Amino acid sequence: MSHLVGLLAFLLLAPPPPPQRGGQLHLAVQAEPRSADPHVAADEPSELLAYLTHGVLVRINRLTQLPEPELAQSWKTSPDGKSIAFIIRPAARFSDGAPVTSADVCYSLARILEPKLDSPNGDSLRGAAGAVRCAPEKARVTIAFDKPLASAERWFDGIAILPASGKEKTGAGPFHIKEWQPGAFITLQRNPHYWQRDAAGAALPYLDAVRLDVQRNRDLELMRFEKGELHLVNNLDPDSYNRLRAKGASSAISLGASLDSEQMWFNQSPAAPIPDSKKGWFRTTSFRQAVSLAIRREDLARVVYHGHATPAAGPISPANRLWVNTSLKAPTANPQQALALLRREGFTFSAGVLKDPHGRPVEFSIITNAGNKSRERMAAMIQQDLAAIGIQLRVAPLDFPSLIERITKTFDYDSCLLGLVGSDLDPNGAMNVWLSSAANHQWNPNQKSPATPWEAEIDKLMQTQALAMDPAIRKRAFDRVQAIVAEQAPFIYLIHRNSMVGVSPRLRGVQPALLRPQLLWNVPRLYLQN
Amino acid sequence: MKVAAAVLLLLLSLAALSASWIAPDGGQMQFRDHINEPPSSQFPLGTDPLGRDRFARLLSGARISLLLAPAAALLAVLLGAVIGIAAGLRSGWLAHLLSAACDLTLALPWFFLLLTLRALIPIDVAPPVSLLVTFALLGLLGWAGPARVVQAGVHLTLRAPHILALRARGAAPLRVLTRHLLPELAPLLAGQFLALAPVFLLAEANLGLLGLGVSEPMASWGNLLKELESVAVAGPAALLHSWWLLAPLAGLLLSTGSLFILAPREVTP
Amino acid sequence: MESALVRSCLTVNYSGKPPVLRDLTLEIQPNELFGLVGESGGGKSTFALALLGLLPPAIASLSGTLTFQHHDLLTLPDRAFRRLRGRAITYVPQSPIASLSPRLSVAAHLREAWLIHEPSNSSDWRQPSLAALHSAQLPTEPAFLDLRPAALSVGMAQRLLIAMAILHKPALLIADEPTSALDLIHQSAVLDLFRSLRDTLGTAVLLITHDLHAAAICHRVAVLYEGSIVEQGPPAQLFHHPAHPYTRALTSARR
Repeated sequence: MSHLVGLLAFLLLAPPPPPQRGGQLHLAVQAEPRSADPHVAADEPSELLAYLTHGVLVRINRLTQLPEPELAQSWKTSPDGKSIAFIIRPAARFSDGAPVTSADVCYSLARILEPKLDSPNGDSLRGAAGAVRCAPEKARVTIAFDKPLASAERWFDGIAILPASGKEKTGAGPFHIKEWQPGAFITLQRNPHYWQRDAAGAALPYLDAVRLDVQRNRDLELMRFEKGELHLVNNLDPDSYNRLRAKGASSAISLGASLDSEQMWFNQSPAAPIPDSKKGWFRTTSFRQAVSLAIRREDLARVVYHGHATPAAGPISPANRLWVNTSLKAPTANPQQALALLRREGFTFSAGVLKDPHGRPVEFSIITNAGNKSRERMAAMIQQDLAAIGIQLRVAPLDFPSLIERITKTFDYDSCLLGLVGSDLDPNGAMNVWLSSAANHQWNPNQKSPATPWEAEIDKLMQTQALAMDPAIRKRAFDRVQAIVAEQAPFIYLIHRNSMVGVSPRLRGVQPALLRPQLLWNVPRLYLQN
Repeated sequence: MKVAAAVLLLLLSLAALSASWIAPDGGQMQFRDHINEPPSSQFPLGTDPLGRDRFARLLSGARISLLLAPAAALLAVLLGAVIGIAAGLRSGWLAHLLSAACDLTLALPWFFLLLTLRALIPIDVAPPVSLLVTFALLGLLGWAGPARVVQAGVHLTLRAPHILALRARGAAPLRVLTRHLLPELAPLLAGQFLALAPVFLLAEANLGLLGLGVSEPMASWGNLLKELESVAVAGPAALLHSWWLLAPLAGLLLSTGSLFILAPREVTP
Repeated sequence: MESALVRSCLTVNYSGKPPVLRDLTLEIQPNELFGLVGESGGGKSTFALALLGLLPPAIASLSGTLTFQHHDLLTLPDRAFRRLRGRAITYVPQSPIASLSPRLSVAAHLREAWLIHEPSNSSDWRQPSLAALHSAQLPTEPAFLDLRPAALSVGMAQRLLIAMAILHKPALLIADEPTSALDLIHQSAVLDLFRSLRDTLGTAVLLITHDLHAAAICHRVAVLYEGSIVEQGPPAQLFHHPAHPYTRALTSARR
């Protein structure tokens, strides 16, 4: 404790060394960016390139997950959610020195909404807002939508502002592209006209250049990082993380739970060609709860992920700070309580075998994608956990296409173990999972009308949050959705993988975030210490 | 040499048979506080990533692999011998038909056929059944290779002067086949068997990728050997530090080696 | 001429290619030593296999006539042919060692050769076999009977093949290049053996050879050239007054 106080005192009292200027930040991307046009960026490298070279009106702070002014110094939304007005920052400049104007904003907005361009962000904005009208007047720009948009400002984190002159390579971001060797590397040079300054009034970014090497082989990437050639590396797997840690370097950082989750679910589809007895179990809430209670999530995290995973409480990872329902806790395994739940439904447990009210022994299979070691191991562990309450689980690894065929077309399976990659923070992005009519409502997709009262309630809550403009109302509704899902256990959430990164000791100013670009989101403030 | 090989095989079989006594749980119990441990008095060959006793898994895996892989190889060789001999003895349309069937079988995209087959077998079939189906399948599908070799062998043997001399003495085809051709093809068949048994043993592990074969939590030498892949990726140094992981490989080499020594050989003039 | 043992006017071709034998015309009398002389690959072995019914049916097509005693060999059913083969018509192949089964002992060879035609008298194989060995001038003691082909000399292997060929007292014995694998001393010994077998057993011998001089022991010799008989007669006549240029080439070529 006294150490901690001392450290705090040191940090507070000692004047921080001034950030060093210059230098080239060196990192690797796993694939060549598909496009330098920020409006059509859909792959991760292209998105990174757009982030580094282009400016947007509003930036979501990747750490706080809150919107912050970028090229717009302020904004105001109308109470009905049908318009938003931005004031453009006077200092905002493109890399060629030209000022960013309201005309540039309207040009960019029109361009991204053009259906022919096929812009992913533009297409979803068009879908959510309907027709969009843009009115420029000097430094002010007012944008009106046909349909109300909740948190309208958040959409503008994804809309790069291009000069109305039509030079799509010119951006208002901290860097601009200097050289692009296809298949090899891209070097970016500091934008001397970038608007942002540090607390001391010095122009940002500190770095002179950024070099992105196209490096498909992750082992090589890691090796180059260890040699000090690369300054950072994302998405470390547990083994690599442990290796870096074992070397004593403080360069490996665990960021805690990621947005990704691993979950299992029971097939509740009425179309499923499985015995009615099984359908009966799978539709019984207590049965699903008992299975959930029998699984030792902390063992999964400890054994399968070497401790680099967080037991899951519900659908939303704690990494999604704004939306997670913090009152939900990951269930602690309790076989006795699980059996008590089952007995209340008429199940019996004797001689190590669980039997349903009709005397049938409880056995079912779980499918997962073959070749995914973590999932195969989790399935084996769940097998042993369920054996403790007398359930015989059969693990059936399947190749991925067959698995998808079964869970989306034939519905010929008992239960499934899969993961979900989280990318969208906002619940609107998960409408296609939670609505009972949705295709990705995996346990019972494409329902004409909700099969259960709790699914009907989720439908209503999801619609409520989608239409409400008040963030508090949205949050209350989505908290309730998470609570229902945790209670009814249509998805039994197991763990969230932890996110781990490697940062060179030379690279300073890093504030690792779970959202992309994890280590580079505050790139203007990063610097290299010699 | 032959005695040593026979004793070794006997010992291996005995160890496999006593597996249920040495390791009653078949190496399925997860000791979750003993993950990836090196050998100790409690775990003679250490534990796997789920904390299961590697020694117990090796023994119970031997039961599956040493029994079923050879059985499947035997089935494949027998089928191959029947078809190969039929194609080799007959000339004309039957030979053409069998030869074409052989080509087709060798050229078929087995991966997709196996996928289809997986789709046909119910998912929650009990592990022992899926095991039998897998090896029966390997046996039934593996005939084409041996058939091709046997057919060539039959052609070669039939053209041999001593077979011509025998026929010139009035020997009936049946006598030529049973008294001369089969005994003389025996080393060839034994060779095919010896080549196929280890292949099937490993094929079983790869079928696991399609959801066929030995599924969790049962152990087989195939899926134990598959674990070696990840160690091999880490480089030879890693293997030196964890030599006990090589135990299944040693088992495979010892058992196939002994079989090889025991197998009939051609009479050398 | 009704008493001829073999009567041939045979054409053979393989898979529609030009004939290997074209109207091969000859007659072999009972108890005759008949020589068929021609170059290697000239169709001599094809004629031997035709007499044995062992030409591959899928690719060989036979036409013309070929009779043995009263049997039409071109239409004889397989089963009936098998009764002739190895009993009435026997065969001493070339390359003696390779023509024995490597796994079987001398006794096992003789026993099988006996059983093929006398399955009902399975235990009686020993006495006729010893007699045949004796006639072929081979030892008859048990130690010899237990030898395997690998332990035999080329000459002994050939005599074993001869012993099997005379086991059932054949009407015709076909000897295919019997001298080619032997040195000069053994060559004349084996030719003497054939002559004495003809004398003692009353068998006819068809001696197939590329060596006109080896055929000197025969009563009559036919010269085969490009699939046809170009000349035949007593050996002395062929030696001293060869009519055909090919025969002349044969008489002047001495190995």
